[in-house]
Amino acid sequence: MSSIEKNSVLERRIDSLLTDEITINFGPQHPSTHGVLRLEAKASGEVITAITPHLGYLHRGVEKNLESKEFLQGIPLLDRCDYLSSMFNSYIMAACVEELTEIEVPRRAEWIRVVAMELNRIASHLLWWGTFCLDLGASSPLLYAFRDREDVIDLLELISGARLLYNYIRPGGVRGDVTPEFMKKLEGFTNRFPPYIDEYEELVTGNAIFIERVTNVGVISKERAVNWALSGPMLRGSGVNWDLRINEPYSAYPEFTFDAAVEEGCDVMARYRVRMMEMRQSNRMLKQAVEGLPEGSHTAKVPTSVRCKKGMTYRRIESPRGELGGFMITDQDKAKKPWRFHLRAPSFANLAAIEEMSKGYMVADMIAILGSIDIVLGDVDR
Amino acid sequence: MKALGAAPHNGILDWLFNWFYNLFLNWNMSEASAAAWASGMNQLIAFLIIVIFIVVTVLFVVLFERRVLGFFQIRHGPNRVGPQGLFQTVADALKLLQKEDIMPLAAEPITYNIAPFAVFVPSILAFVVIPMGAAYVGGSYNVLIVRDLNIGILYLLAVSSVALIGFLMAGWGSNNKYALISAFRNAAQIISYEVPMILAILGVVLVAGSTSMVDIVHSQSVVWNIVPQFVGFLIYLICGLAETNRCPFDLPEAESELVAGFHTEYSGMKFALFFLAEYTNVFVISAIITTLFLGGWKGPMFLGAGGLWLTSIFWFLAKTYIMVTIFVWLRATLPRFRVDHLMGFAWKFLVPVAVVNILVIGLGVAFSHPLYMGSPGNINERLTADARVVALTQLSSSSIYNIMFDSEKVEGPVRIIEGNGTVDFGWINTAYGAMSDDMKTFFWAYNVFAFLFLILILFTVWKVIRGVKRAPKLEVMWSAVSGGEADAKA
Repeated sequence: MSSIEKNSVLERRIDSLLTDEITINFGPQHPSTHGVLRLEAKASGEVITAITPHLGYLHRGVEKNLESKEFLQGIPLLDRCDYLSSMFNSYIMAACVEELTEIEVPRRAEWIRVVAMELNRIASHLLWWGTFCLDLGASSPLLYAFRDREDVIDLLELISGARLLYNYIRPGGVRGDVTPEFMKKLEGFTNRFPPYIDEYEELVTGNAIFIERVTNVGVISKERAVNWALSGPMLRGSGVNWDLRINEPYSAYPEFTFDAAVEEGCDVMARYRVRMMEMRQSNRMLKQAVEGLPEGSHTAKVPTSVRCKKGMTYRRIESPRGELGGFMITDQDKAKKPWRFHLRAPSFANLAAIEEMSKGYMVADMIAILGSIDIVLGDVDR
Repeated sequence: MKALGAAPHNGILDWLFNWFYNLFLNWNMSEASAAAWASGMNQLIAFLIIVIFIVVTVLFVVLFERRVLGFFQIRHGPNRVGPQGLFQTVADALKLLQKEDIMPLAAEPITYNIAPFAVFVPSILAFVVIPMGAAYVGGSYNVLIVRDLNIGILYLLAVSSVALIGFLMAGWGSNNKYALISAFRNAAQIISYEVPMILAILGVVLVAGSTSMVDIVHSQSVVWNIVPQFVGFLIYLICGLAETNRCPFDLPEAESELVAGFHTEYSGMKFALFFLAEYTNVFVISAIITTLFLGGWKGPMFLGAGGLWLTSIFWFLAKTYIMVTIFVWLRATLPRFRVDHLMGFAWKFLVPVAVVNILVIGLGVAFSHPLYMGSPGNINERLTADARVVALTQLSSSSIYNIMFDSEKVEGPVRIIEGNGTVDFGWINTAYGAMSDDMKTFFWAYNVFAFLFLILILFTVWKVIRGVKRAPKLEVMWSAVSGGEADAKA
């Protein structure tokens, strides 16, 4: 039955006239690919019939490089993979090393990590929101998103000294303790941010043109989303309640109260709403951290050169883009370097589904769908 | 002048013509050669004035948009070159002039090179029939307009459609897929939106009883068209946005999809021509909206008869720039339409609404509803309406009023009116009083209907702008697109 319906949907969109398909290249230098992605799209009129993503323009051999670097040296390199959420990449390496060295991380350190990661999630989602709206042709949201992202980045600069690539989370805890000044500013931010989000929702989410552009576009069903190994907002936008912070708790997340953002729409709008909701939930967590940041040390006692025992481990966390996994193998006891480090990049897996999502939709929809995947090419190519 | 068959009150150029004509006659020229020389001088001066005005206007509109957009987007616009960045566009244009003119190898040279001019020239031609003010020159009442064509608004529509060929040429000649798609989008868009646009203009023409731009302005001496024809105003505004490829109808230039649209392959001054044409169009559309719906140059003439030219130009520019600001405001607020939504919006929504709009206005005109009568049909009252407003704003100095009319020594249809300095709305009462009882019933029923219609339209507009809070419930479409069978295959 479903195949008949599928045909009818496609037939409605692709007329039966004898026309030539044209091949359009989007990228590697193109305003909407958010980096050096090349999409080879076949279009009949304005309707997409096939898409092939060509990857590798930003391949920097990070995984191979990690094999020749000590664990601590690897963290700044990993930061550069998904450069919009480098806190999460740092955390992956730290978590893998902690598991193989059995370092006990102090409670305060875990809380600070959560604060840092949630701040980073807000910064990442804000940038996504701005660029997504830009893809849809609204130019102002980008500027507003950057205003708030500036606040977040200032906060992250206060704790880590860097604005984009933090190198802050490391085995045993975090690099430096948070200051009272930071906590005060964080509190200010958490109070300031929700009204801004309300304003954005009013400006963009409620807009009739926006709603027409994003509802019922880029539909991927629950089952297909799972089969494609989608994760993060892509998966939750398809109605699967799967958030690693809740389903496989790590760090200090069990101590926080928050909800997983799940939408049943399966379309671009659902993913949009999931991300907007996630920003509110992150802010909620930050508020709890402002009130109840535990006392103690910000790091465990870790030697300058960390040595891991022989073994292998896979740790996965919920990054802004989805399930970020780190698979680390050490081939000897007291290993200074990983023998192999594999990064399970969420952008890569999510991008794979673009053809299924965009087939039968128009070129403009394809841009919206690509925007809704929220890829970072550093993460896709590594 | 009369001997040559030129119509009187045809604009300031006729006065200029007379002046030169007399001058040359005084130089002992023959009448024929004096007329030829005078008309030549006339055209030269008109050309210079228009070109200077256009250049200054376009340069300013570009800067204006960037600064206003900056204000909307919580940032400063360009403010470094000159005071408040006034010379930013000049600097940009100079930079573009120095750029190398690159032509792709695969481009079609002829179409590729002509296209920028085919786009730019029509946008400038539109300035010919836009009345920008009124003035007393040498005692006679003149309208500041290059040519008051009696087919003014038709001329505008025809000229603006020519630009479409330029877009297609650019798209085809560039031999670039983005440019080609953009050009076809543009063609489809402009053709679709011209239909409701013309229907909206029809309402104005019905009320004015003329297609001359000057007559249309004069028909708004008492009530601006925006009041009785608010729906038509909105339709025209929307179509004007679509016609100029402005957000939310900027699909042909959707940079996230088609890079730069039809001018992707253009660089240097050819690109600048496209760019300037776009902003010229923004100004032209704003000026047309001002003329058709906002009463053109009409407004309180606070400088009296002598300063009529200044105040009228002031009002014209003020109204036009308010429209430009609205254009920028929309650009700062709205996302872009999708192609099929765009077409659907034109054919399924705008055209029916425009037809109903015509019906309402037509009924109003047919039954002589005061709001739809234009100003009194008498040419004398139309022409002196500006003078009346002058008098109204300067009641104490009735001497100016007298001086003005004393000095008026014009032959032709303008008759000197003895006024007491008040605007006479008596004709409205007369029109109402002359109605039969049936007519009065219709009059009120009509008023109520028009009011409800207006509310409905305003509500729709509000919905479009502010939207609904939540997305509508989705149809379960995904199960159709990808279902269990596809799973089994995978």
